[in-house]
Amino acid sequence: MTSDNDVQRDQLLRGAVLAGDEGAWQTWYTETYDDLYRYVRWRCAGLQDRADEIVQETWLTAVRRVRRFDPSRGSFRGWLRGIAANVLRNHLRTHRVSGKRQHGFDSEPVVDGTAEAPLENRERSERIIAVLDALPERHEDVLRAKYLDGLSVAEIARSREETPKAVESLLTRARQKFRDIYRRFEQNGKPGQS
Amino acid sequence: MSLPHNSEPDPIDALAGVAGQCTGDDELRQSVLACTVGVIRRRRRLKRISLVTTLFGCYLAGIGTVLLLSPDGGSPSASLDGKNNGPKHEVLPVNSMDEIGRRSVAKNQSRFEVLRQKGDRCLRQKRDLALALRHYDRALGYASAEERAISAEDDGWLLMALKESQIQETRNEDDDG
Repeated sequence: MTSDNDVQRDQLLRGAVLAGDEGAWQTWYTETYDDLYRYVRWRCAGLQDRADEIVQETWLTAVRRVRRFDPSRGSFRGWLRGIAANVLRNHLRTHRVSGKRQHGFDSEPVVDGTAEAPLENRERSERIIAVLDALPERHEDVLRAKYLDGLSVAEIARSREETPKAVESLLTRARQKFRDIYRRFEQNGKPGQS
Repeated sequence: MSLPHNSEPDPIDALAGVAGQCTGDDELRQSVLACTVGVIRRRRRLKRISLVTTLFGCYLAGIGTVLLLSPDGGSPSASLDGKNNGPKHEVLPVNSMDEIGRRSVAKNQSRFEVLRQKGDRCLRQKRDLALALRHYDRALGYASAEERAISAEDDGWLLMALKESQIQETRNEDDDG
């Protein structure tokens, strides 16, 4: 939840960036880089090469589209995360449509020289990336709040303006949905197929 | 609702394992910052160029408007050759009356005729309208009734206009009188 002060500050920074103020952009960048990187790393299930690529593309997209950012609708941090999620989704879609060989998705092992983890781990990571992308937004949101931001049920309930019981129920459903989709991808061998 | 088997790891555990990991290396951070700052700088430069171009375009439009609205050629001139003739016309000497009298006698012409010819010369050769007018005016001072009449063959346009003007004045005086 963004306060009025935060909204005003973001509006001032946005105006300065659009006017060409490098310092304002650097302020935003410095304040939100680590948070964005952690989020992207989480969404990429720990794959650093994938995370680096997504982070780079996210920032370039953000600086080009900063005019579209509306501080009254959410924080700059949240806007960046939305861009990162879309960039990741586009990457996944591109790989599926073009039929490129994904690391670990095919039955034959792929050696690309850039894999940082054993093949099995990489396969699992790629599967997790696809599962997070396939999850409904509210489930991904609550899992992120729990596992990435490290918030307690009470804190999540406060931020979402819901009761703790509702959040617990949502968490349970989100975890189960995650497992179900994961199993499905595991059985089918590729994500995106039921 | 399916539960994870005991032998298989819970995929949810992977989420917890990933969270809180490193924030990326400094090299990536600096290179991404440099790229994005470059975009900001290019955008600022483009803005300035477009502002300067717009201002210059307005300036050219203003110049163009002034040129379109300004009259063609120079200002109208009183004399035929377009020169702004000031008091450069010939000033008759004080004793020109004697000279005109001598000329008229020598050429067996009336003073009106002599002065009329002088006026004609001023008009044709010197293109001095003001001096020609003075000569014609003096000529009409010496003109007989016959010489005052307008002659399409002998009189130039200026003398004809002067004669016409004098005739009108005379008529008006007669009407008023």
